[in-house]
Amino acid sequence: MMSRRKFLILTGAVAAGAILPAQISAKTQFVETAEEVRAKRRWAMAVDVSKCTECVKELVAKTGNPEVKPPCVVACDRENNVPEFEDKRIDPQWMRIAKLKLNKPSVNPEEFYIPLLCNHCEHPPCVQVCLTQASFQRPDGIVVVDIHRCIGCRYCMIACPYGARSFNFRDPMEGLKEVNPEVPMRAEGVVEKCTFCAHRVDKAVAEGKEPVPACVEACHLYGKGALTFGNIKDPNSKVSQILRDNLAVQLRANLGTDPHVFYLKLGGE
Amino acid sequence: MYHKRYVIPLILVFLIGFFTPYWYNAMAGSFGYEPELKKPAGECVEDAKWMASNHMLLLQQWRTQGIRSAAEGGKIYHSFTTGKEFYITINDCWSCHTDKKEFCDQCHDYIGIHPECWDCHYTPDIEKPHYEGIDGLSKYFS
Repeated sequence: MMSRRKFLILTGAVAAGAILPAQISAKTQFVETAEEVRAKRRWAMAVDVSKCTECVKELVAKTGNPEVKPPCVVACDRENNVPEFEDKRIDPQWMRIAKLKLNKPSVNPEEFYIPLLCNHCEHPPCVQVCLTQASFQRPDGIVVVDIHRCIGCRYCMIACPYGARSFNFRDPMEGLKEVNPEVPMRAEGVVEKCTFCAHRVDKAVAEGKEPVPACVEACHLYGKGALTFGNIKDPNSKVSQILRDNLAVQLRANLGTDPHVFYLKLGGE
Repeated sequence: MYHKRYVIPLILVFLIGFFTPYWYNAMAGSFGYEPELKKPAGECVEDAKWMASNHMLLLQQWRTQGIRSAAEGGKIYHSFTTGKEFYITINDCWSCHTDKKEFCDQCHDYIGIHPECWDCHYTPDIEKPHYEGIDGLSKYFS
């Protein structure tokens, strides 16, 4: 007869075994280690503000609509299945165009337009506050939301100094006219944001090509080519060269988040 | 043992009640449900029999390594049955298993499982036009 002590130990062991997550293999090492990736790749974007302003001004003049969506925003919405709702308060946006004016007329007296998107900070406040670690920073610098983990608490939206994140108040399927199978849609009750087109980046890196996000591709195809995307760890990449040759401005740099979307030629030159 | 007269019959009654679904199915001759699945076109990532019982483990591992370790090459998966290399994407499943209703739902509906994957992920059931890529946007900007 089994003693009570032995029976309890056995039951406990079986229960512990059942709780352990089942997985196929314990392999955690992939093509590269996180340290290797960190040393090799860091994605960043450079925005030429004068070209961007030129493009948006032209579009506004042509359509007569001050809220017209330029090619980059349309491409982003379609590529990433970002829904469109009539109610502006609940309409998720990954990329938007802001009309600004410097309060230093000596530098640039004109109004200008800049795209606002997730800045993929080096020290992202949204990741620090995430309760479930759904938001995280990949070793190549891209900040992603793991939608499977997101509980929709919206702390990250409060923490983000750039307002780059949107909450899905309604099922995005209602607001989608067409669907891109490459990118998952989101469900009601999760936070979403720009991923620097991580699906394109991963595919391009696996194939050994230069990654191009949808907004950048559309900007060069239909716009004035204001956006440049690339790896700033590579000194010969186009972004590195542009950042060396120009004075780059980061948004709200005083907060110490070290954003990696750089704005050039704010002086309107 | 005390009150043998009451305890043993009551245990028997409990067991008969507990296993009612089994008695019912055994008597109705529908014991052992065999779904009629639509035959997939290509070859699967892993052995078909293994996939039948463990596809959820594979999808869970893909989910984790495809998002959490994507930058390190986590989207590249090596099959342990064939040794072939696969690029992790759920749309690859749909290229062979073209019909969700006649494949996935056959078993899931029977055992009452409703995976939440398809709340967000693409399925062929979504009747909306496909995005044509950046070149298809020329209709907006010309």
